Amino acid sequence: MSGLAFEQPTGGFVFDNCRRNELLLSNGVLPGKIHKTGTTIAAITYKDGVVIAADSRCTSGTIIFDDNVLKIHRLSDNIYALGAGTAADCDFQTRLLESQLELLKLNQDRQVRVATAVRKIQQHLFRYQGHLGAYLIIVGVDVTGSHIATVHPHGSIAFLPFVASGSGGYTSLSVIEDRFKENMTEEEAKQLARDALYASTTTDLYSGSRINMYVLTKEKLDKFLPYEVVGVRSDKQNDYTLAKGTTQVLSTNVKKIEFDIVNEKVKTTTGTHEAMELA
Amino acid sequence: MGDDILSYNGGVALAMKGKECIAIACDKRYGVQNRTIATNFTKIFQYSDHCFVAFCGLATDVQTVSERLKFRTNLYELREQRKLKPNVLYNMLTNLLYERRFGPYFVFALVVGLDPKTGETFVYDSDNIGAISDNVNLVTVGTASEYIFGLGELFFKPNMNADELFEATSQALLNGVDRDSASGWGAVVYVIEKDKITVRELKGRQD
Repeated sequence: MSGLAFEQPTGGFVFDNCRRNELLLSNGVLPGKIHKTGTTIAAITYKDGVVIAADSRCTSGTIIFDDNVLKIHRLSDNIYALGAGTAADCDFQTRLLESQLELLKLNQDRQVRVATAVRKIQQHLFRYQGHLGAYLIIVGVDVTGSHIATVHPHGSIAFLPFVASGSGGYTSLSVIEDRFKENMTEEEAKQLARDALYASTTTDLYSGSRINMYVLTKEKLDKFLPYEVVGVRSDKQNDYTLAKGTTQVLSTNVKKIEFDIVNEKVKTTTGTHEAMELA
Repeated sequence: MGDDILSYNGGVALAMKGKECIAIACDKRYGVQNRTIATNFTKIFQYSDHCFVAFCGLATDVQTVSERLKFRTNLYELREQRKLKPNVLYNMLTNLLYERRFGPYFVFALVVGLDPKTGETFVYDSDNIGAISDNVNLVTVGTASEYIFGLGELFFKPNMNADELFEATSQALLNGVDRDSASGWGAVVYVIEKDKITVRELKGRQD
């Protein structure tokens, strides 16, 4: 990268800032706060498929950066991933996996299996020895049935009938452990997922706001965005609209943007042509 | 001084959404820890007729990332023979930042854009490794971001027109930076509408 003006992105990670960053950190400078999705994500299998639920809070330190983040990532029509841990890693690794699965599906001319997705991401994360902070739950329904797998940054996986992860994971898990039974109905499963997420959104400070839920079966995908808003904002008591001219301005510069009219259509209102009544 | 790398140079930026208009604003301070070196360092860069990005953090990375992004967007416009859309710009930026996941640039970014045909507004933010956000109403980055978040939430209301949006953005920014020693020394606000961009320099405390 030294001195090259023409930088053609080839894909993959680039390490050219590492030496500089090492020096900065060794001089006692603290690294900045990156966005984590301190989070609660949960998935439960039921009779016909799986129910997946996630909260929607994204924090940077203790500041809530985004109150309405979707932590459910599509990997394939029948496979979804829930991400906790470092937000960027969850977003990009699931995107990468999604593209790879799409190519695989086109290549093998079959619906992709959950086990394939899990194996691919597990092997990828292992290569990075845990430095990619993606705590994922991979969920899907394929020809072999419905599956839930939890994947940890170092590459360990577990296939389980239900799982909850993230900072609020333990809270959710205790609710699910209490009431989970095999072959629940869809309503029971949704209610259990909702209760589990409700428990952690109200107790864990890194989880909150809304509960987003997807119900995935062989036939359908139901999206509930949101299923429930836990953090309801109260209305403002006052109108804080500021009058025009409140702010003192030193100078104003208006740049008009040139518009090119590409095509113009004149539509006449055509009614039924009735002959005029000449009475 | 064992300080946070993101507050080494100071600075802040804010973006707010209105009805078919968006406002993006930043302060103008450039300092090195406690010394103010310049007061004309704006952090907002234009990438297309209606697409703007603001970078806050380490000043050298603000310049590097804005220029590297310009390089990529220029190539895009040459190859595709069309102007960038806001979500494309956002994807390019987050890719650029995530490429350096293990040796990151120390900038937080805001991307704003407007679709002139539909009037749809886009406001996105990114952390320094490219975490993807949804289209949000209000976002702020920089050393005074914690103060401005509070003020922004107060002054923001949905579907503001351009004038109301300008006032809300300016007041949130000015009052926020007044409580932060590492930002201030004037402010610039861009209000982007379908047919024009209004750039205003604000009168603020010069300290």
